[in-house]
Amino acid sequence: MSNGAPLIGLFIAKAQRRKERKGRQEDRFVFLCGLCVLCAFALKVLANVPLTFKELAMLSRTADHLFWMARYMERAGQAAKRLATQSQHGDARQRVAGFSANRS
Amino acid sequence: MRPSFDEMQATSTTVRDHYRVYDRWLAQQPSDVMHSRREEAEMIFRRVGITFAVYGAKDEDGSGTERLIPFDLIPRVIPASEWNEMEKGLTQRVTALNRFIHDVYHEQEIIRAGIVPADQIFKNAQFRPEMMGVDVPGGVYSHISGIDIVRAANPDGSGSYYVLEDNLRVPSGVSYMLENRKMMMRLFPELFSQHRVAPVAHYPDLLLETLRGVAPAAVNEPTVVVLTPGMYNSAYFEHAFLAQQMGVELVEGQDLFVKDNFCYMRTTQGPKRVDVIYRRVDDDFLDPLAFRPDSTLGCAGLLSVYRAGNVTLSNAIGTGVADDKSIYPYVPKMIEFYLGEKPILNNVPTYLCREEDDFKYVLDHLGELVVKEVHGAGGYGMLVGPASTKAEIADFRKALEANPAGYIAQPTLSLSTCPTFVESGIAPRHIDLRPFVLSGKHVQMVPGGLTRVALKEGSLVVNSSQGGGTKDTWVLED
Repeated sequence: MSNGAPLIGLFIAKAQRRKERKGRQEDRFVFLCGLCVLCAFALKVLANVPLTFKELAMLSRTADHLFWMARYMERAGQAAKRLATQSQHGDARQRVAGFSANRS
Repeated sequence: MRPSFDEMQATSTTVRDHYRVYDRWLAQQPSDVMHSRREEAEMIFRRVGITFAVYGAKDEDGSGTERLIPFDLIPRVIPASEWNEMEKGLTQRVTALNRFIHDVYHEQEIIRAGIVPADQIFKNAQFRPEMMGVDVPGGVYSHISGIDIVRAANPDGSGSYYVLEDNLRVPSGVSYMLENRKMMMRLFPELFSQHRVAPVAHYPDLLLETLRGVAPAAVNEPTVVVLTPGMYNSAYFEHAFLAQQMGVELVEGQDLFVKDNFCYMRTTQGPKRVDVIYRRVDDDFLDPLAFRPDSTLGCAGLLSVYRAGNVTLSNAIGTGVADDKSIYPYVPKMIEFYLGEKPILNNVPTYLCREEDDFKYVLDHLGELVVKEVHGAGGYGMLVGPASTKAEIADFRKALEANPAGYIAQPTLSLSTCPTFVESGIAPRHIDLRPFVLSGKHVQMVPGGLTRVALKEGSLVVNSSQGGGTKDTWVLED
């Protein structure tokens, strides 16, 4: 206990600082999520349903679709970033070109 | 044509007892409120995605095949006494039909007794020789049966229920029954405090109980799945809905495989054995090794697993032999033969065009009869004599003469009408009823069923693919 107390104190202090940094609203969201998870677990235990890893099984086809959906989202995100970069660079090039033109 | 029977109006000025409270409530509702409720219902149906597909048709914006099924705000009400009698009749009919299918694929006593002609069965396209001698759990073949019932007027003004047809293959529409009730409770909650309406929401529980009850004998905790042809099927919404409501996997053929005469589904945790398949795929597409070799909707080797008794298919393969329109006229005799009872529900008198005398009569009276293709469904391939033009009758006559055995004919029943909220206000429209009968360890059903309504004035075709809509069906408890 005596060894753990400073660590717990440190953790609480860090959490406090984090709380101050991120704001109250986000904490409330995290708290609600945690509460939901706890409730779900409590319900499972109350219903005497064994919690096994097998419950997380899903059809391979569904998993495959989820993988590819995630992959397409990732690719779409990268394409969007590329477009944004190009558009910024394009703007910059235009500005540079305009500046050069003005100078000449 | 006989005079019509209205479900709500006893005469032009009086309302039937079981509609009295509803009628008082309806009279107080302003038309604009009803219109806005209908729009709200449409919006919710669209948002939830409660649709059906009509093959080869386009939807409202002309882009696809998904259609909303029109929902009518005015419920069809059935008093408890009528329902109790109908329930007994349905139980009796479905029990006899299951006994018939078992008999066809085993001893064939009904053929030996000369009640059903042998060629009606053996020449039937739905007869599956692969099922000969196969024992299914509990001797139940049709676990989910949709029996179409209509009410027609008697000469004295009362109405009698008639069975129009039996659907023993993959009857659909139950999701609309459940969603219609949810919608009514959402739009008009006050009505449910004024009426004691028997609940239907437990249908998925009953269905799951039925399916688990017919699992192979050696299995204690059966794994049930719903097998769908995929998202392009007309009833895909229903497949997904039922799987979700029962809490079971919705699988496609590609998710299943057969190994060592057992059926498995592919999961992220490895193969998982499947014990009961609620299949929404026709027989022809179930197993490319046994039926259509070009089918990609089924699972290769499934029939062999089924014949070994290691998986239960619901409904069984080959149930179509009993719901064929040419077998329908024999159902009352089946009830007497197998159960030794008088049929509780009436059959519509039917002329078999394969019989010479009947065929002659049908040709002479085409303008008065309803002629249907023996293997037809969905309101296609039929002629409603009184509502057809001379040209349509002439065309149909040619088709009939070319293949008499492919048709049956029935007198044009004037289906009962029920007040329906249409563009012009409230008007009577013809309706039918499809109760869903579940047969497992015992026969059970939820009170009521799906009421379909022909929205076109005077039309007798209630099929959703032909412009029909649906209504909530209330069975009032005593």
